Amino acid sequence: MHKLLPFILILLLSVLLMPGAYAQKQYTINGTIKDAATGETLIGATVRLQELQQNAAATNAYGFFSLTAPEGDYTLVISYIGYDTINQPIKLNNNTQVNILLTSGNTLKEVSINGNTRKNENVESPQMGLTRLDLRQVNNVPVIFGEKDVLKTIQLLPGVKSIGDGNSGFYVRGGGSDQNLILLDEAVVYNASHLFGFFSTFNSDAIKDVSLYKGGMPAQYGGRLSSVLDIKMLDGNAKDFTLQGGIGLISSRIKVEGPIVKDKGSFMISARRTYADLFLKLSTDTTTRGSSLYFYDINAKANYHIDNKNTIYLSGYLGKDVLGIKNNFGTNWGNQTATLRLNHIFNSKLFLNTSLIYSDYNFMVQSFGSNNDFKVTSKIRDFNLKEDFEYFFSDNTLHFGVNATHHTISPGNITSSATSEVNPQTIQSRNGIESSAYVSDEWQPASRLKFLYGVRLSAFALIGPGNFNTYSADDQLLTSKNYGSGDVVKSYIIPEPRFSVSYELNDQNSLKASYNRNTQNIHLISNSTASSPSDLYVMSSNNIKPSISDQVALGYFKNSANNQYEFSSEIYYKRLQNQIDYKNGAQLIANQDVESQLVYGQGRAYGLELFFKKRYGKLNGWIGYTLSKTENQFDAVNNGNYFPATQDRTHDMSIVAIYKLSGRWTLSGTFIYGTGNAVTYPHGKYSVGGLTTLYYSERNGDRLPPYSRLDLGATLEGKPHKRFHSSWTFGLYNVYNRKNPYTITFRDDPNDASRTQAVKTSLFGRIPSVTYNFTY
Amino acid sequence: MKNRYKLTVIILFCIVIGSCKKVIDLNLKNASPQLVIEGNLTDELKPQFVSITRSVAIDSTNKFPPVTGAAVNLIDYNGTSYKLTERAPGNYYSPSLLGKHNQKYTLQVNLNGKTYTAVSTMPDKVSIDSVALSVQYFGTQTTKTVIIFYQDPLNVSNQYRFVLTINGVQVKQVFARNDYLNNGRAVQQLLYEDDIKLKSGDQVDIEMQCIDPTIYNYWYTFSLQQANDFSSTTPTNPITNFDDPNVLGYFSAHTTEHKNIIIP
Repeated sequence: MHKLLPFILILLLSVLLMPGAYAQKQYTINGTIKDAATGETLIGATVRLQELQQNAAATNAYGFFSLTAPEGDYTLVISYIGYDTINQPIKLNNNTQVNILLTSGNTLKEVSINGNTRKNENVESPQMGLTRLDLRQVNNVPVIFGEKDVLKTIQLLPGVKSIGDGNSGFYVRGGGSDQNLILLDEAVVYNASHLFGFFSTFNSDAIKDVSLYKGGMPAQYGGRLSSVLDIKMLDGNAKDFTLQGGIGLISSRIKVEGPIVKDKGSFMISARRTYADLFLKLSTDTTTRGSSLYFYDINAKANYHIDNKNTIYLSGYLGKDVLGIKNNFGTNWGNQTATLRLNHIFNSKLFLNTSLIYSDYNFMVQSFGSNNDFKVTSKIRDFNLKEDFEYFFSDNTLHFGVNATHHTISPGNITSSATSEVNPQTIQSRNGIESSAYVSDEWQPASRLKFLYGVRLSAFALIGPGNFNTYSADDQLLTSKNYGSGDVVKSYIIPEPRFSVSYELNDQNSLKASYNRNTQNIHLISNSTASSPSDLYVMSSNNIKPSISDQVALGYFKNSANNQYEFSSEIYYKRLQNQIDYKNGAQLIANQDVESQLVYGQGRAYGLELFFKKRYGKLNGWIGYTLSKTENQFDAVNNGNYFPATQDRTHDMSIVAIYKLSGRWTLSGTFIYGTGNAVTYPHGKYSVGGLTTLYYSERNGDRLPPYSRLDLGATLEGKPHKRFHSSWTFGLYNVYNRKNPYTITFRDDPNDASRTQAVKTSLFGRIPSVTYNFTY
Repeated sequence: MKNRYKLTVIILFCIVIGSCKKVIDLNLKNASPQLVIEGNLTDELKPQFVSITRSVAIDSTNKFPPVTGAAVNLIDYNGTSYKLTERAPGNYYSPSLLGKHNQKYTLQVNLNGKTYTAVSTMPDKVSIDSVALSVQYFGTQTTKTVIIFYQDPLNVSNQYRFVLTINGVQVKQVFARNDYLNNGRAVQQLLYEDDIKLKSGDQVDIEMQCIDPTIYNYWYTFSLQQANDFSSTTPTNPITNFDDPNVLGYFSAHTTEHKNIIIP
């Protein structure tokens, strides 16, 4: 070990002394890259000096880049997929600011599914487990009801699995559905689906960039164990007013954007609503007529470029689901988020983004029965402050920052009228402060070797006011203590190391390795196998420890035919600690002592992901295959033996193909196949209480039948007009009408009551869809 | 409650999409036969009944083999032991006994050298105030549901089980309720079930049992298993109150009261 010490010291010193290492004077080029037609900042555009192939920079989330090189004459090359590349001569004898406008290019040649914009960035960059979606191509992937859906599209990637039909929850590399950090313009979204999961809360029209990290999350992200889905909204056209929308069978959407001050500020507003309930209004029955079943969501954003060094952004999201049967009961739930951000450029090398974020998720159910009326409300509210710095050196890029969030979880308040038989109840809210500090460095010590390493220090404190019970390992009450406002009940500090390395065998082949640790302090306790808006969130506490995941991954990446084809294979192993489950017969509804109903255990997940993609051409698309295993172990379950997690799926394959027919037609298709989810089937039956009952012996010891489905779609572009553009999208979901199992239940055979039969319930047969889209 | 609205959404979608349910063949594994002991002690003066059977494979018919030759004893709060005699295979009867409110009872079963013990405390009696019928219209469908009225005592934690028998056939739905949300209130309990549809002229017997907390847990986890919709929990066996957790079944000391109505 001590023999390595001088080597480590040299590595550290070289990072710190890097800027001064060269004899020649170094200057910096910095600036912002935007779309020439709309003024939208471009994320991940590549800026290179042609003469120094090694020196390349990419624009950050706000379109800002910084490139440092020795004094001299160069050709600046700026490129971004879907846009014409710009070559610009530049004389570097001073720190220079260059703002670039890129024009949308010949999209036919370079139409791609994935927005990797450095042509071989997937090979070069040490970042593993990252997939970026190109929104223009999400449009062409056929989905149910014709609703373009970012969440359903990422489920077509290897390593990402859907929970099942009618659910936009997802599992990444065997992790639970609450282990995904979903960010919309930096605000956390708690329930990312509408109507029990049939639709997601993201309106593709309003989105600019979608990045999914399955592993190797850089240190600036934290808070969830298995993935980060970072979604950035469009800023808004800074040059011209435009109108875009679509009318479909189930829902419609519209987007308006335009400049506030031309080229200095812009805004964007988009909205979406279903009208699945309109057919209820056609009923002759008053109850049906007065019932409701709909959701809506609104995305809004405004930005203003104050001066060369400062830009301010304000974005917001409002969404709600409403379900109700007239005079009987009603329920609604929704997310609201608001984000205020300020970009500040200190100098050509130092960029700062400050964010102030508010996020709120609330759920309400109410019953109007004459004597048993009640109303239950629950909510989660976050206030979040983030400071993110980016410091660009010539061979290193340093990211560092701090983040603090105040969480308030109000699990359930019951109000009822005086004549109701239901007692009003208020369950104590809980408050917690989640904070972190991180530093991350991207370092290239040699032309073929790149490192991305850092550490995130995560801290969580559960604070009063309130009455806090501590339970023993077998859920018996040990102590009960009262805390005042702001008093710390329990705190945890855990360092999370993050490390990735890439080694380029040559321009088109590389090997990568990564290790990262993540912790999670907001936990979802769900009493069912499907997710529901009434699922309960709890924070780490005097009873619940933060959950921890450690993941190692190795990968081989290869591009060919001038980066037209992309191939990657990754293997991963993930160990999960402090996993939570509820004990048998747990009472979760309106229970102040929900922490007494929990059991704890661990998990492990490992797998192989293969991914092959054709980025552009008349025919493009991808094939993904995952072979994996996910298991849990709880002392209180299955006699303490490892058992398959519900989301364990041995084989998972998806094929996506998009074919641009000549003329105005584009055809697309997706095919997916997966082993069925693990289920618990009965292995016997017996009689009690006059009833035949099923006997269960092995948790998740069986499998649902395999899942497979083929979807086809076609888009017809309208004839080109001066300002107005339209298109028709046709889709056929589940072309060969396979009745995939949603759930399997058991009942007495109606023809022979002494026998038991299994009944499979499927949700969707063959479903056609038509959507009319327009842009003005 | 939650079941009903999810059911509504699904019905709406199914009408639109027209897919849904199909009987399938599954090759299920078969566990070895398990011991099932079911013992009930009520506050009626009569011979109290314990049944001992075994479980069968899932693809066999519902003929459950009785277990004969067990030594079954009921021990009351004084320690007095009553021996049960096997009048029919697997059916064991005590001498005529009356269960007393607020007293603890123990059931002991001795079989093949192993002893299985369960303890249950009979709670205080809460009576049925009255029974009514609720009629709900949803579209063209009329649904009749039995409602039971009772006054929940404030100072005690109460648990109830309701058993519905329609024209002599027991309804499969298990109704296990506690007073967590409505302690001390005049309760209107809606006994919704979709097993047997109520029609005019049906003869309905409603039984109200007051049960202890452990037996409430048993019937509550039993009813979770029955929730055959997509909010169902991962199925597990109901939590027995026998000292051996591998025993299926329970021993319940409960109060009982019946009310009969004819559906108008």
